[in-house]
Amino acid sequence: MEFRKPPALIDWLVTTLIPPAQREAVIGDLWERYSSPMQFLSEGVQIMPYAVASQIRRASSFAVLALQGFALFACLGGFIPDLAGAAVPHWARAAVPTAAALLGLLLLGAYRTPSQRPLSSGALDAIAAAVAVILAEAAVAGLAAEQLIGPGWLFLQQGIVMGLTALPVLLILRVASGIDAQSRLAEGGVSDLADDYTRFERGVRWRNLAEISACLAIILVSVSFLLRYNPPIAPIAWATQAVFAALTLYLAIRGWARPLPSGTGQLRAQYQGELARQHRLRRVMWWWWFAPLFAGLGLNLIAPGISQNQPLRIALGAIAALALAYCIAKLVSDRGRRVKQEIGALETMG
Amino acid sequence: MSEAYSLGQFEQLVLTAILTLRDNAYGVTIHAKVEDLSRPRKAALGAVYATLDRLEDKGLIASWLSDPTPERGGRAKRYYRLEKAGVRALRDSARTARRIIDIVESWGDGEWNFASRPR
Repeated sequence: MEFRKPPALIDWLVTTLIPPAQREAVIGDLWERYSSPMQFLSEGVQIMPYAVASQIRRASSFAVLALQGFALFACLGGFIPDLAGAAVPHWARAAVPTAAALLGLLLLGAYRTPSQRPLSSGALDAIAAAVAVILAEAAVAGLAAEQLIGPGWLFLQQGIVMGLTALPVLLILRVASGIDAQSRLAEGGVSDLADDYTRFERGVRWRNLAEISACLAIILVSVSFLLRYNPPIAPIAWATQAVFAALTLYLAIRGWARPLPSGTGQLRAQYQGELARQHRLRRVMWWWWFAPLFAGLGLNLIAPGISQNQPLRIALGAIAALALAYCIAKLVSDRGRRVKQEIGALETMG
Repeated sequence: MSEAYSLGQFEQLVLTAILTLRDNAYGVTIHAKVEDLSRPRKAALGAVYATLDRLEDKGLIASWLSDPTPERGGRAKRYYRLEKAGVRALRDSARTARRIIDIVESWGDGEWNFASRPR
């Protein structure tokens, strides 16, 4: 039986517009309702904003997004105190590319394929944020060239170098929020525990490699920055880099999951133990990833606020530090809950 | 017993559509039923999908994919059914609506003519 169907190009266009998680049902429904190419296209375009908004709501984690925003804003210099007579405050200059990057990350989250691996998701997050920041800066440069805004809105080379340190953090935020054993619960049970553990071990290996690489990238960029610009906070920054180096070494030695043992009883206990141990390790790492941000808030907002007797600046710094701590704690507790579920599911398995 | 979720009007329409469609509740049929229930107002198909997602996230409905069919370009239908919490929420909304209807119906037609009332 021959059915009326939309032209291939329009079908492709509408399919592309609808987020992957909703395509199957929505595009199928549109095919069923098909009466003309214009009707098909028009309905697809009208559905898109609803589908994207719904998918953003479903796929986005407020804590992850807030931490991404914090990392970008801080690395782009948003918390740096302004010099007297500065044409554009640092926070305003950093806010534009940060907002653009967050918008890009929200859209990317909506269009993420459900089966996408955490490492690919993290890499795409970093690329999307970098592209969004570049586009925002290009737009600012265009406006400045037309003399619609002042040149003070543009980043200095120093700001761009520091902005690069946000990219590994963005990658890690996505990669480390997974628990490396997500597929098992989604499928409703494990037929082969050994296969499942092998998948978990592989996931841990990739995540650990990503985290080590991100640590090394941050050390590399930060050391280049320190050697080139020698900022006033250099002693603290060097100490931070030393701790980053120590953590990298620790991850390289102890970050991997133990290899597959023989015997189901032993395997189950090891699996549960590894899930718990990996979570403890991630918990420490997550607080550490943002430790420089806490230091930055203290040095750039709270300390100058105290020395210059500016209660507003002190309050802003304290609120930002509390919000940052809340987001990290939320992320850790969300992950901890999922790990607990995994461990419990392993316990109840026959 | 936990307190039932308070439904918005559009959510009530979508849940009622799923309830009446029984085993045939999926995007196209739910939208048609919602338009029928809310006439003369039109309902956007996208709003129906967004509401279905929200209701599913709140645990009021559940969904599953059927087998693919050729008239849908080889794509599956996503069917929906009410969960117990959804039935409870809809019942609560219906009771509230019933109380409103009782009050409104107890008013005579003349009572509605606000314009003719002396101030």
